[in-house]
Amino acid sequence: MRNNFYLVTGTVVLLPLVPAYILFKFLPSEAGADGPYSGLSLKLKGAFAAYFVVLLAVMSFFHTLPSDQVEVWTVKGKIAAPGVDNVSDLRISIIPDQSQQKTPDLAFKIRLVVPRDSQGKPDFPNIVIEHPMFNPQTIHLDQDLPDCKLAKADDEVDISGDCLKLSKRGETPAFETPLVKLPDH
Amino acid sequence: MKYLAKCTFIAVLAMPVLGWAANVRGKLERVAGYPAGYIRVTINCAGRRTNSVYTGGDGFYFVPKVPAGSCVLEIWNAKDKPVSFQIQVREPSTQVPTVKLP
Repeated sequence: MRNNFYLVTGTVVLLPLVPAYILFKFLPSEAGADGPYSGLSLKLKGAFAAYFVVLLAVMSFFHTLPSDQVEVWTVKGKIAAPGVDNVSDLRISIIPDQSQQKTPDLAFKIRLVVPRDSQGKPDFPNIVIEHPMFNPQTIHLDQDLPDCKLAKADDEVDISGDCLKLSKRGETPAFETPLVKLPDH
Repeated sequence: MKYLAKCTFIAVLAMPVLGWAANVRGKLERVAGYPAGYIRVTINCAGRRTNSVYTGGDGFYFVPKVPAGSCVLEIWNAKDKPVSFQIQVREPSTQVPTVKLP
């Protein structure tokens, strides 16, 4: 978008001319637009009124586009590693991982790309929080935690308070269960 | 003393109602010898399945609040068909031997 500054500006200014011209060429009228705009009192007539209204519509559309601060890129590739049977064991890490921020007080912020499912609902991924000294904890963003309700706003999930309490590994002596493999279904 | 014994007896009886349960932990490994990370694990006790958890990168998993008793450990190595093991869950903590996955 940044590289196309002139194209975007040209489009925003010139595009509204087309419907304005067509409307007043074939349906001439004395229509007008008046009212306050950005502290000014406007009173517009004829083709320019239509142009101004469409210009505002186009400008507000461009305002809804993603900002220049974040760009979504796609990286594609193919890995040659003979003998790999379990593709799920293949991990590709991003370093530094700019999608997440962690602060010394153990607060975190993660930016996610969330696709929508066939019914248009967000198809949230799961989050696994892990540390070598603690048991891993899984967060399902589509459901509440066992002892905590997830606070969801438009595009934000807030897991604050004492919801995420990691338990130390092997803190209590454990009963070792026998393990009996059951037949596959 | 008699009062204390009575209270203890009532507390023991009320345990299942109060939802006392065990933490179950274990590790998944590939037969090749490395940890099986980020694999989905559930435990099914008497037809009630726990929330799924995922193993960490080191293959360890931790399932909190599992009701004590005979349960089935389900490891979702494949997406729609778990590998299942019978386990005995005891409070407060149960350790499952390392499971080797293909």
